[in-house]
Amino acid sequence: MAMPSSPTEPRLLITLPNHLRLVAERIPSVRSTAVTLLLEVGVAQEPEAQQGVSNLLADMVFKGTGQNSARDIVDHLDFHGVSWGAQAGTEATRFDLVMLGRELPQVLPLFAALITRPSLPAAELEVARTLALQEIQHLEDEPAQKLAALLQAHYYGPVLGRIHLGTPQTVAQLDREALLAHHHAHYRPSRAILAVAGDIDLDRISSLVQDAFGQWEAGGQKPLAPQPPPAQTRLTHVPKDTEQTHIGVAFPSLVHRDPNYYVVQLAISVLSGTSGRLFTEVRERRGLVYTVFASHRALHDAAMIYSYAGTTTEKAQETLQVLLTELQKLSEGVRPDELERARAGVKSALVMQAESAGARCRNLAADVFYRGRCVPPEEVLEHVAAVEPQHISQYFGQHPPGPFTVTVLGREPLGWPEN
Amino acid sequence: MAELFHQHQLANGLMLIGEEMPFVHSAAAGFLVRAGARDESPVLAGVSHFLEHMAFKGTQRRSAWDVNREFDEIGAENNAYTSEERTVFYGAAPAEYLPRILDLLSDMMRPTLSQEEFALEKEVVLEEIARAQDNPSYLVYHQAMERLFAGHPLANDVLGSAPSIRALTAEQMAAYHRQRYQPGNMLLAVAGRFQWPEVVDQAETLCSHWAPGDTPRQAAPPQPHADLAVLHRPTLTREHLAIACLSADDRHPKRYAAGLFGTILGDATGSRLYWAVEQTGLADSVLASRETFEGAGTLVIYASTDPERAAQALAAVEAELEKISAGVTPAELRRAQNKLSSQLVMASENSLNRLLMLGDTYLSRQRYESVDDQLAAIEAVTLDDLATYLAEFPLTPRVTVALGPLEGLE
Repeated sequence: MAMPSSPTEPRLLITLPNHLRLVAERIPSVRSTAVTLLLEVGVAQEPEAQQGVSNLLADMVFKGTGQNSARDIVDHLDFHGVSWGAQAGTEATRFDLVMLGRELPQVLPLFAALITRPSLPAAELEVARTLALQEIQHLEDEPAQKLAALLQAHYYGPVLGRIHLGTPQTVAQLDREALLAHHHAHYRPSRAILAVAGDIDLDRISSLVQDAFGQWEAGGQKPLAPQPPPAQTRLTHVPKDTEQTHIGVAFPSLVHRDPNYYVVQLAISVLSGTSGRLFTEVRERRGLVYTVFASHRALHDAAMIYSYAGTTTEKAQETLQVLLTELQKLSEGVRPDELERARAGVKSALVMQAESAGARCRNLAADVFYRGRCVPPEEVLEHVAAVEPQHISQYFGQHPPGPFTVTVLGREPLGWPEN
Repeated sequence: MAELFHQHQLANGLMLIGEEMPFVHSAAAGFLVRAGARDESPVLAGVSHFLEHMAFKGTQRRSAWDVNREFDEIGAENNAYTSEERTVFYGAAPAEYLPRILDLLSDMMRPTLSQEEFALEKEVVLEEIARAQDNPSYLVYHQAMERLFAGHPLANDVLGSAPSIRALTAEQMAAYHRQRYQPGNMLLAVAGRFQWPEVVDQAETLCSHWAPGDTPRQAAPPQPHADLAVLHRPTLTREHLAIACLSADDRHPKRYAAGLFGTILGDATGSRLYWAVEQTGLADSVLASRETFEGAGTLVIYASTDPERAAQALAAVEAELEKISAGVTPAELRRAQNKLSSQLVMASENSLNRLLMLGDTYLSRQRYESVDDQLAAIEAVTLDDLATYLAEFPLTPRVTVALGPLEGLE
């Protein structure tokens, strides 16, 4: 039950008797309070024939609890001015709520009932399944998102690369028994992190949470920890009659716990931003794209750098070439001024994030999930300040970017650039 | 409580406003220019948005690289957008950097528009237009606007078209810039942590040499049209529907009633359309959104459906429009008030969001409204106000556009 935070920090991390981890932070400048519940289960932990069950369950918990119907629940949330959302991902399911701080005592008990005792009414299941199937269809009309899903599958393989929505075949088969079994196995306090941030009284928050979630029964399965296949050089074209050709490139990166994590994060920032290398070389100097970026996308035990560019067909080959060249150039290191700008970006983002209860709350939950503890902003700043240009050249000198998994969605296939 | 709102007008007509947020550590600044797609003649279609891009591409004091580099040096969150109505440039960063943001943004208001950068950026804008072609929800929205406002400048597409952008010259853009980026046609706003006298001094230094001038806008009232169009796009998988009608404009006395009505009808969760169209499985998403302009407002419903159920989904939307015309319940109004109030407070907590809201309100109504003023206005709306609103904006005439695999709606 002990916590590492110093008494002056407006932050706490405790484990309740039923093993629910609670992390909370007071933000003095805001009137809102955000709540994030992260459950350690996603599409990668699902039985193969039930892909999509986490996503469907995250929707179905809002359809009833005790005497409350779906309409009662949504009306209650609306009455208390709660903005809410739920989403299942590769290995986590997240529920995010934001409200005015004074509403929390009226909202938390209902939310706890939804998570711990959903009625999962059979009458609502048909519509929820229909909507999940339509969502899968909808991805076809959003080529950039479709590309991201394809690349994830190509890069991470058949388990970690699954799409969180499931497949039309598996979703069509999901029944109430599957939802109940999934809930019984995975919606357990030992698999859950509850983060609360914003206008809260830290002295009262643990008793409020204990009252709401204290009866939640421990137990359930230990999570599976699927491993990614080794990365490989691969270029795949998926034909689609779109106006732009959508290009995605992925290659291995470091998990949050890795001592070199901040080295890689700052290197990615050198690529990103409007003075970053990708924007400068692909857009500003050559006019090849409107959108180009690189971002770090981490799972618990695996991570990738994901880079995207969207361009019209006749410019696509050149775009791929410039993109790959810039990614490869990381092994030649970065200039001190580039690193300074990357550092400034991290610092400013921390100041701005402190003004958003929702953003801060999602980060607290992610910290506990990925690292097992809170990483205070001041610690992030220390890590970032310690990175020197030679750390980046050393790291990428020893681990040259690659092998590249490239996925192209558009009218024409592309070839590997020559060099 | 000390006065948190400040305003100051430069001799050349530039209005400067600021709202202090005592508890935050960041500051945001923005220029809002009354220049948008509605101000464009057909030959200039897309110039406002292209000009927004060009503001980043070099000034007398800075190259394009300098602009990008300097924003990143302070880790600023900065960007710009263009609408039918205005062009907005903004940046936010830790409060000590506000002077640098003001310096950069004011410099960008006088871009050089070099031929070389103009030609290069044209390619980027053409890519942005191509990207929009892959975005059916944008396309169907614009198709609905074009029909609802046929013959009125609000029908113009912010991006213009590939041919109009290709034909545009830097000289045409420079003339448009001279006309619309005059101090009397612009607003400089700041929000967050700052010392007002310092902001005033800096704005005087940076902007007082701009020659005075103003550009009135011809805001003729729109004559809305009723229309139904089915646009056949065989490469799409879903049928994308937009249903549009007029709503209150940004100065209308019933504008808060209009906002609450939109929430009750079509908020993403808990609304009439949510229960009747999404939670019956007819559409995987349905949403009513309101846009306000000078002299006009719109209410646009978007839905994405299985093609074979598009007609059924559309009928369900129309049935709800019919039903809600009879009025809403006190409980619905109460929930919508709580929801909107809560969203308003939450959206005002960071300096950048607050800046954008503050600037938008001031430019629309030429007066300051605090968050508390707006909360009181939401709270004051009654069922009678909603009835009065509906009597003036009866959800007809309306335009319906279907974009997707269908060739017709039976």
